[in-house]
Amino acid sequence: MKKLIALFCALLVTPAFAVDGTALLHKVDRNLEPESYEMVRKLVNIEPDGSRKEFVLYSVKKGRDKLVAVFLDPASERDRATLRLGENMWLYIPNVGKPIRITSLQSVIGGVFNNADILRLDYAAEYDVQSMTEETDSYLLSLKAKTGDVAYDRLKMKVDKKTVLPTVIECYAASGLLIKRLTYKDIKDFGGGIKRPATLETESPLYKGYKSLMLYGKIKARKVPDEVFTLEYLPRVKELR
Amino acid sequence: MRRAAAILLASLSALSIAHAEESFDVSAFEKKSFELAGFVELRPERQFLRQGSTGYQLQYPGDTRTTADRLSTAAEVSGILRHSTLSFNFTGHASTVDEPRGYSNDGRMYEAYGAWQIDARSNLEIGKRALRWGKGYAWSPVAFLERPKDPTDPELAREGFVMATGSFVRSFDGPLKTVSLTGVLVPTSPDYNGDFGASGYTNPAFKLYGLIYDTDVDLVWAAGGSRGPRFGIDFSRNLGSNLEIHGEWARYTDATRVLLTPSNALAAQTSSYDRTLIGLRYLTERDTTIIFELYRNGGGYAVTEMDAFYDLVRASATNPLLTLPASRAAAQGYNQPNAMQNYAYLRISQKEPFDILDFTPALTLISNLDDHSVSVIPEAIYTGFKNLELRLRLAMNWGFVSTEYGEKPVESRVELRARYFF
Repeated sequence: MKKLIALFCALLVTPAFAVDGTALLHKVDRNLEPESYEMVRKLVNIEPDGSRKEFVLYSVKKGRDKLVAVFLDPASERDRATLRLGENMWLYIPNVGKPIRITSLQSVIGGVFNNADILRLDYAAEYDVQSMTEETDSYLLSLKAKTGDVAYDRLKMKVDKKTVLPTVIECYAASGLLIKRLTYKDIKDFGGGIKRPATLETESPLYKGYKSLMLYGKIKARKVPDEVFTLEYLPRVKELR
Repeated sequence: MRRAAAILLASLSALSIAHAEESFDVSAFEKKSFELAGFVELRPERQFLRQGSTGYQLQYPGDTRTTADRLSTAAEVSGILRHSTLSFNFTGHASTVDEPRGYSNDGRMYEAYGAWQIDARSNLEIGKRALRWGKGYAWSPVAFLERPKDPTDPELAREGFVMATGSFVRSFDGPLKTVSLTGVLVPTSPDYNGDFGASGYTNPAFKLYGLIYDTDVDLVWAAGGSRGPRFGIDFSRNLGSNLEIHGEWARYTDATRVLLTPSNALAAQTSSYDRTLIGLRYLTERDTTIIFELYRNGGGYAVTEMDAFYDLVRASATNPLLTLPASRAAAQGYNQPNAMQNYAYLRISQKEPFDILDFTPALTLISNLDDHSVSVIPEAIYTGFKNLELRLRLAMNWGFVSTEYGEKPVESRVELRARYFF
């Protein structure tokens, strides 16, 4: 009987956690960046021998699912742009001269980074909160991808209680395999009320010895017209800077 | 104790230096009033020639060489000059080729145009512009206003035409997300656009694009003038997170092509026909990308028509009177890439196999479905050095006598392309 009561209580409690967790995830999203923003990041691939490869990416996001990004550096990748409109994704390569529709899992660049890192929408837009547990100074959110189009099937996100910002995120495949571990660090004031980690460190058991960094240089709230997120505008995205 | 303190101090210094190394100066990437970019390229190549082929007869008449070494160089520079909503954009291309037949060089502007971004929705451009219409990777039937692609290297930049364009785009919520309309004028005169067609025409064209129910759709129309009227439609759509399909259909009206008569003269033939393409892009779980396309060119040469051309070239080896008509027929249509009617394209590329970062091997097959000849192109691309792209490529042309790839002058070739970006 006691077991039945415990189970009943657990069933009652779980949805409450899910609601709180969802609200918390929305708060995490907004603390990381405004819903509509422009951003400049440096992506650094560090190989086991210490050699580095760096990319500079300018991106603009609007609302829940409109995002465009263009490489500013290195010269070999310059002006290569990607547009994401919900589940639709296109790649523009200057030499080819026209946007090519790509599948959402198609990588736009080599190395450890994939589209999920470069063209990430809000966590709450792509994941449902399955459970939340509370620790002394953090929350632990268990997230499940809403669709199969998302690069990582499950996330385990550790959220700092004080700042309501993620500190560590573990990314898992549907098989349960740990694909990546992301560590947010170096809290920085970007102005405009945006105070968040300026460094995202990525390590993957699949790429032993390799490390990647994402250094956030500029994050600013900005709302551009919807027409910026069209194939017509894609070759000119860099003009938004 | 002192030693421990020294080690601690040294460690802290090292940490501080490591941290300083990761600093990121955003101001270096602000928009500037003038920006320049480009690449230089070096391409040594060895060709293994097919003596006895009609292509050999046309390129090396009376010669007996079995190999040809070529050294090509190229430089391409793109720039943009900005002032408020106005900009001037250009891409210049220069190249040299040193080969057994001699040394040649070429320099031209691929693009040079002024643009006015009126607002996010409207844009005007005037000057030399390389438009890219269509969804096909290797071929594009609706690409009415551009020079043909090289299916063996579809991503190469190409020279544009002098034109004026205006575009207007609107975004919406709901199943119809985007609509854009592009209007184009391609005037022809003896001074410019000479290779577009007869001079004295304005050659208007329109493209209406819509993103509807997550499908890209273009309706394309080009009025008659220097060329016959043409219209067409294309589409592309994702059928899943790893599968994209695309297609194009175009109707060419009053199009002319050169045809050999029974007396080996060249006659212009006018006809109307369709060009159709259907294709897909598939990504496997192992990060293998497969691109497959089928192309039907209703205006291409039939097997019997190509046979007549091959016979003429062979006859020209012993009859000098036929040399000129054979070379003219080759230059005016018979020798253009994929001049026949039915083709298939397959490209398989593997991203970073065996966890080798920045390494992409690929295999491309282009098959002439009419005569069953095929071009097979294995290649390996390495981009591990900053701003340097290395591509090692082997290309083999397989086919019997009187087939497109069997009559190519080059049986196989190996080339290394080193491209440095700046």
